[in-house]
Amino acid sequence: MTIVNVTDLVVPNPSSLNGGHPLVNGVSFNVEQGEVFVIIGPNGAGKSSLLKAITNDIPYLGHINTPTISSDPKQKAKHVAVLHQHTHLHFPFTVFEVVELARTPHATGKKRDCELVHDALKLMDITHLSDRIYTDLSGGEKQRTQLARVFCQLCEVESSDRLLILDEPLTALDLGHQHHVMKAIRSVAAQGVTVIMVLHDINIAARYADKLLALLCSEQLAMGTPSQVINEQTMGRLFDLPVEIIMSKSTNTPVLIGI
Amino acid sequence: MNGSEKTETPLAFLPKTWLPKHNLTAALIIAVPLCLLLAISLGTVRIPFGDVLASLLGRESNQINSLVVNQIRLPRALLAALVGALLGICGATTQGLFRNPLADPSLIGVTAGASAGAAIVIFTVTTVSQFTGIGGLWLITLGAFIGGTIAVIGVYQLATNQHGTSVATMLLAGIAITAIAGGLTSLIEFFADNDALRRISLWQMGGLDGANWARVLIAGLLTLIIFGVLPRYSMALNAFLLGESEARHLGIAVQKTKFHLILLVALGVGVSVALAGTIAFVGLVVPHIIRLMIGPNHLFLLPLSALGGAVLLLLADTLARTILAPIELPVGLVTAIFGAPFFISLLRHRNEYGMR
Repeated sequence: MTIVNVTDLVVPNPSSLNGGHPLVNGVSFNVEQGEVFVIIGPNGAGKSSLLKAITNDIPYLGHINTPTISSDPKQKAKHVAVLHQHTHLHFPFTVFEVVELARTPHATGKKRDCELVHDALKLMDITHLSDRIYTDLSGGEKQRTQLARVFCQLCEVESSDRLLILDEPLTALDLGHQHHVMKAIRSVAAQGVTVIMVLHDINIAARYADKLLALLCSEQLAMGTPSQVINEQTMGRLFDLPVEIIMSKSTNTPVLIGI
Repeated sequence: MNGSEKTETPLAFLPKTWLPKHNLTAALIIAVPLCLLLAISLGTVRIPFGDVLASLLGRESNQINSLVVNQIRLPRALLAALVGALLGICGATTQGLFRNPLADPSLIGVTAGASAGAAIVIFTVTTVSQFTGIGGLWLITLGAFIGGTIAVIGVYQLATNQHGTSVATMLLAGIAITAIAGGLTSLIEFFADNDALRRISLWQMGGLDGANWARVLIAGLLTLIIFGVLPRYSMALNAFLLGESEARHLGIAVQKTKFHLILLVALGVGVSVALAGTIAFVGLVVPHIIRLMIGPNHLFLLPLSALGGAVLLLLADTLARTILAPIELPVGLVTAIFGAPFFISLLRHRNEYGMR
């Protein structure tokens, strides 16, 4: 079942100073239910713009269809959770309260919400931070709190068309927590949640993604399974750097090394 | 002790975890009638609590005491409580709307806008007799509401982007709006004839000392409306603190909610300006203290800021009436004297709230 269908997407450049080169130019793809769909590419390739077009945060041309998801904002919020790259929360909520905000669109009751928040905190390994003030946390702790929030938003929804959209969710995390979060993402995908995310780390993308989309200069360079996309030629072009690819013996996934 | 001790935040003595919300609610609910009693009892002539209660119940034998209580001090105390509650809840709402703990209606030009709106109404519509009657009060309130609405929309457009509101931009926008509104008021005064000028200055001088039952009635009715509607936006305001886009992804109709909140804040500030003049800093100080005690959850912050505002303004007005008795200071002077240093201290420590 197709959850998101993107056809000929163009995100125009809002500032004419840049010569008007679109931020995303002519990208088309389908994301199927339960897939972990990862967008990769160098800085400024248009990855975040693509996600923002999908979440309807910026204007775009072309078509983005989410046939199974209601367009009513309240219904949509029960099925689609979004975490952008930067969050700006300056008020001293506790970690628990931040995650609890995820239940805003739901009507599952205070008691059930409380249990779900605890589950989400546990999933992100931040149960011990529950009563801490969000604004006092480190960058990585804040990121895990926000991740727990979007996971919690999709809990307890009786439907198979849930969609999780994440923009670089691992940037502030240590290696252990990067893998911890990716395993959590795989586990929600196994429950039928579709995940579209931007990642910088190709090796993590190679290990956890079902499908990769490589963007270069606003355009689609390659798309397919990790083994189809991650080869020396494509990666060399993508990052403008000679690369070597070896196979990991333990995970049997490609590992990229810049030379 | 190590040498690099961190500078103390204002009110750093308060606990770092939230107080039990119900205890604070109970304490404030008890404090409001006590402060009312205190405000009625104290003044140039001190009336013992027993006589105050007797007067309120209509059983006082001393006619003068009964008159002072029922016609002068009770309406004034009630107006102070209502206006304080309005300023408290509107301050908390403004801070949520701007996603900025330093946003206060008096600092961002809403109060000035409301004053200009009221001055325009007094200049154009009313004669002295209408102006003192209840119809005139409604008109002035309407003018203040419209002026306040234009000011909030102006500041919001100038100061807020997708990342929230920068303190500097917001305060500068507030200065600009205040200057425009002040200019407009001066212009009206310049062209006003003697009669209109007198009405305008009469209104400008009037603080809580102009309290009467007509004002209490208007304030009471509009406070009831605002208190009936605003708490419905608690969840939306909570989501708003995460950011506009985040609130939208949590199912909040952002534009509609923003517009409703702007109207409600302008109404609350308009009422308070029309009936009690400019009273600065209450909307800044009260929500801030409440937030330090129970956190930023609007479900509790809004009602508790209202209660706290009522208590604070009752105490400030009692102080204003008694400290230099028989001279009565304007209550706005007292709140400014205590509020301005508080604001400066918040400004100095704004980095601790992640604000620039």
